[in-house]
Amino acid sequence: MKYFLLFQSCIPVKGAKRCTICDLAKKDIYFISLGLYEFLTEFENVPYHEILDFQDEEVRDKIKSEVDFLVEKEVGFFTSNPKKFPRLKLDWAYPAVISNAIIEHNNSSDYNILDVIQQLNQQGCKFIEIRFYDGYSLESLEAILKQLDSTDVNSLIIYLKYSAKWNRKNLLRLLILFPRIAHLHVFGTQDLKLNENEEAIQRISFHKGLIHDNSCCGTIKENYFSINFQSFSEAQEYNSCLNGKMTISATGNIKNCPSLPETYGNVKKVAIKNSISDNFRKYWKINKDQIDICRDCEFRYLCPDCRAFLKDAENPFSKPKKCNYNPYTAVWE
Amino acid sequence: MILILSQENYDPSTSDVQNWLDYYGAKYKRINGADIFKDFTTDLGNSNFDQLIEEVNVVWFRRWLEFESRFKITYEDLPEGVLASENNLLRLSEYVKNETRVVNNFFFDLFKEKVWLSDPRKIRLSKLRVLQLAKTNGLLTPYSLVTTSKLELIRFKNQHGRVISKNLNEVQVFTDLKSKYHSSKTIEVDNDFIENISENFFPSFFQSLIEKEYELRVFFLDDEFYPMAIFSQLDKKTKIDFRNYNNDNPNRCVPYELDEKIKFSLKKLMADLNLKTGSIDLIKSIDGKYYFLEVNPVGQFGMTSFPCNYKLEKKIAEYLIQLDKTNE
Repeated sequence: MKYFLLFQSCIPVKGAKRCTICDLAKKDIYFISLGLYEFLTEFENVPYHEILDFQDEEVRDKIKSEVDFLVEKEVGFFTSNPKKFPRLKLDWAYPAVISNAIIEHNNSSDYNILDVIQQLNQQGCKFIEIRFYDGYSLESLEAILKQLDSTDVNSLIIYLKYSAKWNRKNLLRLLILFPRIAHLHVFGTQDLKLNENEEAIQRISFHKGLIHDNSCCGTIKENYFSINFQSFSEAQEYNSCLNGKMTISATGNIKNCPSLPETYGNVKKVAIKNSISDNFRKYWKINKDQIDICRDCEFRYLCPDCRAFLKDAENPFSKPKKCNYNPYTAVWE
Repeated sequence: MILILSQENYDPSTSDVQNWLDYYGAKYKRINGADIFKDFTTDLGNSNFDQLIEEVNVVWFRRWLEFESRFKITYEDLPEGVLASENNLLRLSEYVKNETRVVNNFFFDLFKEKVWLSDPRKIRLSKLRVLQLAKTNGLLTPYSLVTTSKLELIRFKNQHGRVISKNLNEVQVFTDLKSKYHSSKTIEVDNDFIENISENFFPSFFQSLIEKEYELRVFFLDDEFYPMAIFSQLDKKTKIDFRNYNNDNPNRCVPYELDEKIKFSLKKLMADLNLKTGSIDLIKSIDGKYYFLEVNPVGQFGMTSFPCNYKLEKKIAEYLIQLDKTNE
């Protein structure tokens, strides 16, 4: 007796109009019909041929062709022992109180960046994005980066306003010296044409426009989806944007994200570890199953979400404002 | 305090466990093999680790000296007046290796009163002995043969059909001109292969080839099993040895449920081998049977932990903290 199963890292997610199979191992998405979704989730312990026998011919052919496609793509397989393949547990755990942070900085900032990074690292934070809206001197940046050798902050994304004082060499030197810079975005300049064949070049990009603030936040697009186990499992229970996130604003205010209004003290006065109150965590557990419209979306566990810009500003459980996907029609409008 | 023994580079699993120890606020110290060769003094009574010995309750042995840094011996290291020959280079390497072993063992012995999770002095298992023990504990094993004779090999093959050959001990890695790695993985011994070998050869290990439905990699810790099925037979490249990884299309690795009977036998085997942890390799054959292949006492658990969400890094950290407390 053969049973059809999905490999357990391929997880079906039901939407209003269609369903996805999120392949968390190979980081891919497949679309399947509502009918096949039901067959996969409700008749797991029924042999394949029995399921087919119950359907009329048209449905049978449709299921068969979808299943053949999934077998060919190695998304599913036939087995005589379905009980041997328990579901992949989706519980999430991560060894940090703060897992990722954004630090904003401009010309009037007067808090100590290095101290902030070190405090964040003490909370387990290894992923930090720093936005220098008004630029920063490369010497000072280098001095900070040197001090980070004693921490395990291992991924920095830096946004830096371009200064005419720099050349290509200065920037490359920084990237080569500090492998912990995962990416350096230089904005307000044309491409500096770094066409040497070096590893470091993969970690830098140039943007013509200026970045003054966080107004770019909150856009939901298909290519922002993260198809991996860590974020998929986190999204089951937690908010995929704000869980474990902290932002330090240009004035030193402790916030959830650059775009949310609430502040929880200022780093010039308060230790970061003392600011992580229940109130600070209030957005962390707003998950996609609780959000209007999103709960019917087949992309809900892949979506980066946004709690700052909402369709209905009065309703904390309303859909992200900058998302124009309609799960009821399955169309990006 | 927890003492972690590991290697300097290329072992993310050690840092993954450390992240959890940090998160729980546990007290630990990490020593890499290379550290001992930079700073170690003992008069056979005391040593520069006396303070540490006092504080440590549990030792986790993970790795020690890494493949790349196991003291590269070059012609320049040969003593003056000695012929710069290949033979002398080999002799010097052998000599340094033996000296190294004494240092390592003496260092490990400093902590002999402590509780160990993986003990480097007990992990040198003989694959052949393990297979014998697996059998006596009720596990099925492939037919096995160690021989120096082509005739015996042919007889074995005639009796059991398809045959593979694998290492008697550890995999050895070699590099080519482009620094690409070549390693001694499992291969199928077919008729063409046999035709080209001499009548007598170095003692070699052969087993009957088991047609697999899938492979199982089972991590064992504190009497619990964390099994994973690897669908390596879907890919020609990984069919005989899944370590011939196909990076473009990785094998499916999924959580699995072991039979109680197999678990019972494996527990007895691990107890016989004195192992509190290890990675066990099994094959589920197309005729529905489980074949035991081998056990690796300090196996890679990251490859099981992440695809199956077993959170083994967290579990190991919690286990170490518990051992640290109960042995204070």
